[in-house]
Amino acid sequence: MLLIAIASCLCPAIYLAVGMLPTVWANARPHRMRGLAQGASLLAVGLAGLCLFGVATSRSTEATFLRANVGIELTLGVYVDPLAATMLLLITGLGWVVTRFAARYLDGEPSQGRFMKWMCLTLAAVLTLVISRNVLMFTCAWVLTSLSLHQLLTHYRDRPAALVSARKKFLISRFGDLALLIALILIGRTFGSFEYDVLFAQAGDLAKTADGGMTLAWIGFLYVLGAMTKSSQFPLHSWLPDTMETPTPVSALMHAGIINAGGFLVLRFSPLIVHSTWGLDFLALIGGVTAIFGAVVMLAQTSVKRSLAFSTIAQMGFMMLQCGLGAYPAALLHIVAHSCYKAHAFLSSGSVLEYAAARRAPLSLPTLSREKLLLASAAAAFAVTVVTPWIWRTSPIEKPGGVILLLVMFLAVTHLIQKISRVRDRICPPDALAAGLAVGTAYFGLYLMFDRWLGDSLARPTPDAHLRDYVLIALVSVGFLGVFWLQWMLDTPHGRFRLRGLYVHASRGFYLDLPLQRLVARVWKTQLTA
Amino acid sequence: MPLFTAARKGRILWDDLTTPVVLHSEFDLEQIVLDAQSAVPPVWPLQDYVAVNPFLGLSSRHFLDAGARLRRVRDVETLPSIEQLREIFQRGGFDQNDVAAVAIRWREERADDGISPPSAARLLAALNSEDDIESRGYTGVRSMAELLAETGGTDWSRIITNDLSSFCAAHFDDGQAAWPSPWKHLELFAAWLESSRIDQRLERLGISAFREFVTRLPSRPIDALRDLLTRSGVAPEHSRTLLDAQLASIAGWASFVRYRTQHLPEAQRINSDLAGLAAIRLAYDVALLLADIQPEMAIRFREQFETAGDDSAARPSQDELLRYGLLLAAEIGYQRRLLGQLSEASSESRGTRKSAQLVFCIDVRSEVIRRHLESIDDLVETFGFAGFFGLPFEYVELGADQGPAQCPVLLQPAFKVREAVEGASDDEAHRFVEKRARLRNWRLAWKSFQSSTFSCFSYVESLGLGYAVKLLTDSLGFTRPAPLSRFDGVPRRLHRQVGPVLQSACEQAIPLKRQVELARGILTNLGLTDGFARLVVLCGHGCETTNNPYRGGLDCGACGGHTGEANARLACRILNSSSVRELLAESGLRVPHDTWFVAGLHNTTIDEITLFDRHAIPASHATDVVALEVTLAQAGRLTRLERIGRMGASSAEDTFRRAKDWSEIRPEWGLAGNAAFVVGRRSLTRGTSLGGRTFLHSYDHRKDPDHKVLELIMTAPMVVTNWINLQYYASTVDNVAYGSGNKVLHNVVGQLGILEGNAGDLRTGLPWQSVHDGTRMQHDPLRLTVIIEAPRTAIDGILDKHANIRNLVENGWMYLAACESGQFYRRRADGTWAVAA
Repeated sequence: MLLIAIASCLCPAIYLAVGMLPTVWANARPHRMRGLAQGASLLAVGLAGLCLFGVATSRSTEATFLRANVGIELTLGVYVDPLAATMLLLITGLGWVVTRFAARYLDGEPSQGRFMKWMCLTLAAVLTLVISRNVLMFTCAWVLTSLSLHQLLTHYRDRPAALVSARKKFLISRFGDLALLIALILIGRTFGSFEYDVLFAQAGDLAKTADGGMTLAWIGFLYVLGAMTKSSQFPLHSWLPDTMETPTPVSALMHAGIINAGGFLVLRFSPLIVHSTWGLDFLALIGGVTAIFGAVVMLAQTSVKRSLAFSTIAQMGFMMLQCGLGAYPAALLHIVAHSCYKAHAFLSSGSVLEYAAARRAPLSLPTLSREKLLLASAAAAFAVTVVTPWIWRTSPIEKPGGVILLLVMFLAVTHLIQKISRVRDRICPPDALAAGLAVGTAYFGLYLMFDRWLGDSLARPTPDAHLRDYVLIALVSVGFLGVFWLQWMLDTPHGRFRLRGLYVHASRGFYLDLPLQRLVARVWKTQLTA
Repeated sequence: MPLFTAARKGRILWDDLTTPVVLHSEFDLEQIVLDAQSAVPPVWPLQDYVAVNPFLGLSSRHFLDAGARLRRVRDVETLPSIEQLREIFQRGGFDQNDVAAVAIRWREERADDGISPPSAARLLAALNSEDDIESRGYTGVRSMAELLAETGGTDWSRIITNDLSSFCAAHFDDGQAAWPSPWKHLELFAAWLESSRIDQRLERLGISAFREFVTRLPSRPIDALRDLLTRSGVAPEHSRTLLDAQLASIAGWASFVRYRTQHLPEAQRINSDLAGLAAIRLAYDVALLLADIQPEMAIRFREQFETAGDDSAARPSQDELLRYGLLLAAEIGYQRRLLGQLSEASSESRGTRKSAQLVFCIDVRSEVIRRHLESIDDLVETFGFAGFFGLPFEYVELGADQGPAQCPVLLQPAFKVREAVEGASDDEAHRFVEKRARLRNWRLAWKSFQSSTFSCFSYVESLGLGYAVKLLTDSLGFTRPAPLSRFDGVPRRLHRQVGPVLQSACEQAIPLKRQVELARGILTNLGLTDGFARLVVLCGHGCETTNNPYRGGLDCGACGGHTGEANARLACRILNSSSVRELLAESGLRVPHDTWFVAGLHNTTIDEITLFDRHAIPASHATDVVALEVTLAQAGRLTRLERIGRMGASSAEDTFRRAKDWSEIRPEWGLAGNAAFVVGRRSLTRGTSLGGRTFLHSYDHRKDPDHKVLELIMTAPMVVTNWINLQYYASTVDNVAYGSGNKVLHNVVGQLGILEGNAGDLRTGLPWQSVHDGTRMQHDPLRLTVIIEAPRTAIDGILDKHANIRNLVENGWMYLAACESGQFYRRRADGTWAVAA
């Protein structure tokens, strides 16, 4: 047990040690610094693997290394449960990929040493966030993550656009910090402790009292706000697409590692947040809007990195939707899977021409009508959505948020089968069905795996049937059906012409970046730019 | 009549917009637009990336004056910085004697301008001090947006560039956006009108009623230009300058539009698009003028043309003269060493039949491996020849209908060649094509699943975890991020059989007569008409790099930014054909029966040479081939060893990693370092190391009595090397204007070009990482030195005939020297020749 505790706290410690090297020293010895960063990463991956193994065999670990009492007990310790262990391995793994990538990619940059230094410090901060065992540690790590990321975002200080985007993020992050700080104070006053175990144990009882319920609801809401700022939720997203003024590995780390911190926050504090039902509903609604907004804007982007950025916004929205609906295992699956996917997408963004060449095939005109194919595909997809959970003996519809997740799955499989049917010009050819089945099986299998893996370590919200929930589910469902219709329209030139107005606004991101652009210009007294 | 009156700031005023515009009608605006257009260099899309001379259209002026001309409208640098020159000097690129020789060279190059060169003492003082020399700053024309941006407030310059850039990206997008612009089929200007009638961005940023303004513009670009020129209030005689300035502020997309108006197949060209782009850009400026944000800036905008508009008065500044003098010194230094090496070269050995003759591309990277090949085996002879081997064709990949042009961009493909699987029956071939279509269609459907608005979430959740494995294997170099699609649908055992074919059942073949002409063309232009070895290898070249959007720039420029494999294989097939040889023999060009042509590909990243179509090689040549392959492998090893130093690599094997590593920012140096083009017999250059800095073209003037071959070399390969040289030169001296900036910020836009960072103009030219290794320049910005082994009279005759290349030589865009009976002569700007040391 102690071994796991030590291993987990060594992960950020190693990165911290490398990151504390002075910038001048690092810049003068880029090769040494590269070696150190990669070495630290490899070691951290090993340690994280150890933690995951430990947690898998002996469940969660807690340890306190330092203790101080200043009216309220302050501790320095670790809390490694399945959630933390998963995130540890994910982030250290990405850390290894990204530091290795940056070694050659930034070769010859005069400030490569500095870059590596701040990369290590950022990783150290995120890892501390993941293993922290009390709210104070969490909040400090949260702020430090954003401050060290700021150093990476302003790596090219001579690029005005880099400064603007970093400052946009800076403003939003400070807003998030404020939310977390107030939550921290509220927790201190309400519980008299910052320790997770105390909080999580007492939250249930506290929620039953009227006053306590109210406080918890506020705390939950504040955390939801904080999560929104970190995970670029609508309308606080506009800094993210503008961060391409920083080297590609930073984008990979940010989109795959750091941006998940918002989701992690909701999962980590789920025992508190579940008591804030309207906070969760708000989160679900914002998540749904973000998902749809991001995905629609993404469609109209013409540069590879901007497309990826809006895709991240959409994916984070969907993850938050899952969080808001209480589908925590699905949200964690989403975090892990999306991180791997997006890290790869960013790092391989130079291959976009090769990907395009691999998809270039002579066009054949389909003979079957689109409507017929759609109907057939929908029927097949319906069967898939029914059969594949059954393979795993699971019934997602009973799980929190199950209805929406099933609906989205159904629409996605319909789309997949329909697309393959289109290019084959056949109704539901075997490979389309096989693909649909494979996707469904993989999805529900993984969902079940994460559900079992998390076990009882996170709160399990019971789906209570409020009218509000039905309205929410109905709203989000209508949204997803709406984008399904949009996609259907975009298939033909005629449909694209009819939607030309929407196209222009979507390609401009619905102008939502402008207010923040103005605010930055005002705060830093710089030129307004866009 | 006032064009605007004072009113609320930011509000465009309309009072006069219904008045018919007559002011400019007496001008031949169409001609002005055409002139402006011809000064814009084209840029090719990334997949066909080739080097372009960024100073295209300026060669009728002297090199030094062209800078002043460009700086009328754009803040660019055309000379190396003093730091760069000091770096070359400190590295020993030139010495005090070279500096002393500047005065003479200056007068040779600029006979009549009356500017006296800086003294050698001043030049040396500038080299030896640490101080910056003072430059006078930018004095040219600024756009209204730039003028407003300089006053603080709103950065209109950046806003408008980003706005226009993202519109162009959407209009020309080649498949990035899943939701394409609904107006892609329209002309650029018409599409912009449609889109800008809806777009609220500029209004929200402060130009109110911009959409109404757009609605009232004439719909034809040329009419709109006339209207806007009038409304700008700029005096009509400055129209050309105004247009130049407007196009310069969106130079990258202007270049791309120029490519589309000139280099696309005829049917796809839209000639009005450049006028359209100018009109769009001007519309923004006129909107800003009429919006009356800062009236005093509007006045300044109009007045600046009086002072900055005229380029005849623009004289090079003192600091430019100083740096130009030092550039000359650096070039003198390089030429001194180069000529020293050439004159020391051993004399030609004749006699025994060679065991193998290898023909490489003129590319500078060929020089290194050729030298090592010859050093290993005396019986190996090498040649340099433009890497498309005289076959300008369109290469259509298996199962496709059209394909890229496998020839220099100065030429148009003359015929179409299809890729096929040799040895496969028609049935089989059909199956492969079908399989390929299925595979790629599957990927297409999959991509749609991955990126549609609602299925992207399920994609990530069901398959995203798989990318964990992919991240690992890609990082370790076991796999590459994107599939190599060249052999899609073809079983592995047949991969080597995929190539160009002369005959195919379903396709018209190249007529035999044409084949004979092509064959004769190759051999005579190469000067290989007798003394054939048993093996003649035609060796194209290509790079091997992963995750690199600029791969086209490392491939063969003579093959239109693609590898030279198809050209080499096709050429060998023609030359090995017995019927072709018979007809060749009838016309007196006898290729021995025991000579076999083998196609090869020089992988310039790892310096390995692969031979193709091994199965077709007669058994009698099997041992020759094996022996040759041993030599090739050895030469590759030596070449890699030589490259270690320059690559900053720890071992020669590091090159293999660089080819596969998806994070590698400098897979190879490409043509960086190029400085000279030597046309002549190999005896001139054999046995001496030219450091991978020279293009080499084989030429034997004794076999070319009427100088037809020389004319071809001087009008085609020489121009291409000049383009490449000037592209590297410009990307080094001003990477902001002529290069594509920092590669770690590159963002591929529309699957056709590069943005640096979030937005901004389309970037052209080479990334900084391609010319600089972080501590020193890997390309010294020197103008090309061309050395031709031929009689001076022959060279003069050709220059007289072709004004475009005479301009290049006489206006300082390149140096020309002749080698005649062992003596070198330098051509002066006045057309006379001076004996070179």
